[in-house]
Amino acid sequence: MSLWEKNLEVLRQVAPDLAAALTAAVVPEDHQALPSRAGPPYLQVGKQRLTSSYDPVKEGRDWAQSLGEAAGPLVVFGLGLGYHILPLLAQDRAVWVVEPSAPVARLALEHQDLTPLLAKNGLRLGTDFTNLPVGARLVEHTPTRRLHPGPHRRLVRYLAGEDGAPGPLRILVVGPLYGGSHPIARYSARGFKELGHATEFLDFAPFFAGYQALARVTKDRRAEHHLKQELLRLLGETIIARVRDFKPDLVFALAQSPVDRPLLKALKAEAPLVAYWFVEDFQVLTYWQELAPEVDVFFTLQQEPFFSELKNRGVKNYACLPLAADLEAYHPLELNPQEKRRFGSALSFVGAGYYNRRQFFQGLTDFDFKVWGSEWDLNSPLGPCIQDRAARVSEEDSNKIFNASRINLNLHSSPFHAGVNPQGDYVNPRVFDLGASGAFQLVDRRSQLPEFFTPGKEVAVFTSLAEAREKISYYLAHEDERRALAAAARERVLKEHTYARRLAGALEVIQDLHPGVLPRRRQQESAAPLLQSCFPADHPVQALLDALPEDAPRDLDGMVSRIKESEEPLTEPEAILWFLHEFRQGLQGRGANGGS
Amino acid sequence: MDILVINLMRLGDLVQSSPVLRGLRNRYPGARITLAAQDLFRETAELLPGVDRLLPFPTRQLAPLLDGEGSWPEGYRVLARWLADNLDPRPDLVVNLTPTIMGAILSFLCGGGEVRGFALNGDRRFLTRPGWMNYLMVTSRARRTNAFNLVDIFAKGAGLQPDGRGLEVQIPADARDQAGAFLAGLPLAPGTSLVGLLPGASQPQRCWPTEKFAEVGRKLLAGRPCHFFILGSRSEAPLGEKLAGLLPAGTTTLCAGGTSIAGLAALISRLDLLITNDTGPMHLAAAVKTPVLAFFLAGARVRDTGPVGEGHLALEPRLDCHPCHYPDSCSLCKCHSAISPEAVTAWALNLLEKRPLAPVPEASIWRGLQVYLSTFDPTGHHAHLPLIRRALDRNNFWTLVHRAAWPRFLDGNGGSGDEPRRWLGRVLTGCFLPPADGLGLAASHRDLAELLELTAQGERLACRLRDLPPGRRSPSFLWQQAEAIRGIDPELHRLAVGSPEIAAFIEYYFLEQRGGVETDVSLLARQLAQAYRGLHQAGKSCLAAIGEIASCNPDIDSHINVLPEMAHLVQRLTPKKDQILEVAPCK
Repeated sequence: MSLWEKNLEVLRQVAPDLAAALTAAVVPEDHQALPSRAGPPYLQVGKQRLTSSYDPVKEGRDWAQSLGEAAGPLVVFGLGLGYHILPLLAQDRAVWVVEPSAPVARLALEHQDLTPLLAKNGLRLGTDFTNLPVGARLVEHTPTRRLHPGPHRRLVRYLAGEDGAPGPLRILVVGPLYGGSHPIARYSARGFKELGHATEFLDFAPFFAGYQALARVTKDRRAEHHLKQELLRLLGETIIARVRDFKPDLVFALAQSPVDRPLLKALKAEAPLVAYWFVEDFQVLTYWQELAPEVDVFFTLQQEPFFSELKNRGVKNYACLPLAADLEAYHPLELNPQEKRRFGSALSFVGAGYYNRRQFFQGLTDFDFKVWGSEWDLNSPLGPCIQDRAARVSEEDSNKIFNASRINLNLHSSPFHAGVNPQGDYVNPRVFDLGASGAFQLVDRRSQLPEFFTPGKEVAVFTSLAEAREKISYYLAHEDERRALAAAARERVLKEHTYARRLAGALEVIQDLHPGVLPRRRQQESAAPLLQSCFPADHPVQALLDALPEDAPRDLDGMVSRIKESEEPLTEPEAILWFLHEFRQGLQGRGANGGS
Repeated sequence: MDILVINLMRLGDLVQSSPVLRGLRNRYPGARITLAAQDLFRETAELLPGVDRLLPFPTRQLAPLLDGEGSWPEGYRVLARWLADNLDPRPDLVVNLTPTIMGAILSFLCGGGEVRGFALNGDRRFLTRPGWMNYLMVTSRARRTNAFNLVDIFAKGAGLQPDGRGLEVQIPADARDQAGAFLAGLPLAPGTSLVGLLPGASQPQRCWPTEKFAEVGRKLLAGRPCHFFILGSRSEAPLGEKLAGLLPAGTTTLCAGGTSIAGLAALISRLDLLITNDTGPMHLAAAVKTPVLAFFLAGARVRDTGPVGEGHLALEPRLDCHPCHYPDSCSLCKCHSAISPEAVTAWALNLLEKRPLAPVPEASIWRGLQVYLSTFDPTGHHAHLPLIRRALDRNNFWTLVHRAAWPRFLDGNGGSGDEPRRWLGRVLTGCFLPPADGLGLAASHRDLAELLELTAQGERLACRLRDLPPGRRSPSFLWQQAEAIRGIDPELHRLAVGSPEIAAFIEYYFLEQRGGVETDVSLLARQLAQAYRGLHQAGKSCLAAIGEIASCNPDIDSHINVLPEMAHLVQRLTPKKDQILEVAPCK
């Protein structure tokens, strides 16, 4: 039995979720366990050595000795390859280890017997600080702290008794006029709201028709471009105006939103933090080069070599932020017989007709195959498969198609390949949408995919047309397995891949990169109990609160919204609440008016 | 009788409401008058005469409770307690001068009887009564058409008439003594002019550059001994220090933030001149009758909030972009350089040497600005008269038209008497050169004619609907009639957009329609007929006003004569009510 299997056996019993996460962990090529001069392996991550390349065992022993003999629980930040932990375990000390990197933890469990630590459930991964003793002494593995200063700071705050999460924030999500990132912007706004942040979505979709109409104004391309630029400039001014009014703590802009370098400079002067989520392929769309240096945090779907490109351009504050699933848009559905007939098929695909899909799908036309979406050539061999004359598919219909299809094909787009992109790294929104719908997914291999869904257990994967055909036939004949994978994928989405969860992580990254900038407001508790305790039982305000529907928000703004809409005669308690709301609005907008 | 005046605005607005308090005292001599003002401005409110009871509104206590998220219920208790402790029994009359939703809600919370000003009723609808408050709402959006100082609008909105006595504050004796002792302690030579300089303002865009203030100071010093008192709030102290640094040593005393409001008023009352931006202390100076020379830059406009009283001067840039609609976005600030230190010095010397302030011919020194002299017209309304004589232009002409038309329309005045007409004639000939163009009269005639026609048609249709016997009220017929009426308002909108001069009247009509809840067809039609008739009267008031102005000035009269249609429409003589042509009235 290897060290890994031995460690895993113990870990599965005490922390099965952690065991699963480490099992699924993919160790990047730049994480290497190399032989040291003394023999035992040392760990190198990129250019950083996490342990001595001479004698890592001695280094670990010396480190443990330097801590002294003091009793009491100890929390160590950084696992490395475990050399510094083993002496502490030998002393039988109460030790917890927090390792921010799953690949490093995986390597440690492959090269070190850490069963004494694991048996006591002493290993934590990432920012999982569950049950760590607040007030415990924190010591750090210096190379790990150098690589992960943000998570270290978070751990410091946690052990000091401070809640790591920022309090309710004001977040302005800026979306594009159109395109694939528009729903992502909407979902992001919803995700932030679910996290309890006061969120506004600045939706520019209503301007898209006007933007398109400009093309019909003049045949002169330069003039058309100028007009479009003027419109985008106006939209940029709109963003500034909204920021000044709404006063967000964070502006969260999505790819293709109407921001350019000058606007981002202006935004940074107006808002405490500006983040940009580049949900594109950096090699296909290169406008990130202008924008990334101008924002406070630049989020990407891809890692290397994108990260190196960003570093080369002097961008320091970047992080990978994968996509996620919106459960309101995508969820399991019971379809009626009509819908099943209309949307159902053995095999389906929903999406735009990129080059590689137009080529690849020609090899699947002998199946009961429905192709949905726009930009498909009706006159091609795929013609009979194309539904609704290649009309765009709404979100609602997409969900129905996912639910109605026995196999949902997901081939990531590529303008360069005739089928699967062998270097494909990030995963598209459809991967998560299908999981959320509880639908069976057959997806092309992507290097990042195993981080999110386990191939063979939650999704089926193909690397070629032949493999896709084989798996289509197999899974059409094995309904139970299909359903099992679909159910497992849905469960994974609920646990790990909602927008709320993803964006909570994004906020942590933002906090790490810009400590102390996001305000740490206390969570707003419902004032209703406090209000009710302020007045006697027969006071009119009690009747006001009692009259609110169950699901009505019991904060001041929520109550006043209802007060304004009511058609009953205005009462004094209502007027007082309304006054307080206006007073608070005035405080937030103070300074706009001047003069005598 | 119990009267409550609600004024939750700032220092300058409080001082500007002193005529309202005086007017209420005169109109209701036996009443108890309570003033509700923010506790932040308690010191200022205490200076206002005519107040029997000052009711500080607990802003200081509420602000921290509402700035956060969880403590607003305590704010509820504070406000509920304030109402219970101070407003039982409820007043008979509430005058709310605060043109905000907050002020309106407070008027609802405080009111027992009549409410004047911006109010909220039990149906959750916002109202403005009397008509002059609607006027305030209309002109706050279309400021270029406003012809009245805010002080007068406050008075009229409170149901009073301006009395031509300006602002007033009462300085406590101890503050006066302290100011006197302070000045006596300064080593000033006899004959030294005491000049206040106030370089700050609520917005940086409204601040005339500090360097220019200093240049004026140096130019004044070149001609006469002066000592400068640099005033402002505590936060403006750095600005004051900068200004002091630019003036010769020993010629300045820094007073930024160092005094109480009473002390400030007392000090200002001892000055020979205050040179200031558009600020609260500017109004204090007007109230203590200290001559003021004020700059109205960016979004500030003399006609709206110029210093009230006799003999003050207000300088305004002559720019197409003034008053500014986007002060936060403007980086050019052309208005700052439109007013030169030379021009300011010249007028400051006029004030210091108490020379008669008469209109002067155009000259290169005044090219970028206009200088306004504050005064009162014979009806007691405040006026800002231009002192740089230029050809009467469309803007100024229509200001005069509005000054005459709105009182006719809202107060039902039959027209100006002899004395006001003589005053108007003096203003037209003294302050203006003959018009260089047609004053846009041809377009105005067309627009007014169309207004009269549309409103007459609207009234006819509404009357027809109102008078329809019940038996003839089939849904299809009602729909037809409603469609016919519906076509009129879009035409009125179009007219308002195309004709800025009469837009305010049309906007007033639309504002009056707001809040209608009637569902009965007859009553709705009656209301509509009245509204159209009112707007028709407004149009006629305009025409009457044009005629009145024309009769005062042959140059304008000649322009009207060129337009026979206009001449036909305009009543040359001051019309009596029964002489005004009526559309067939609804019985």
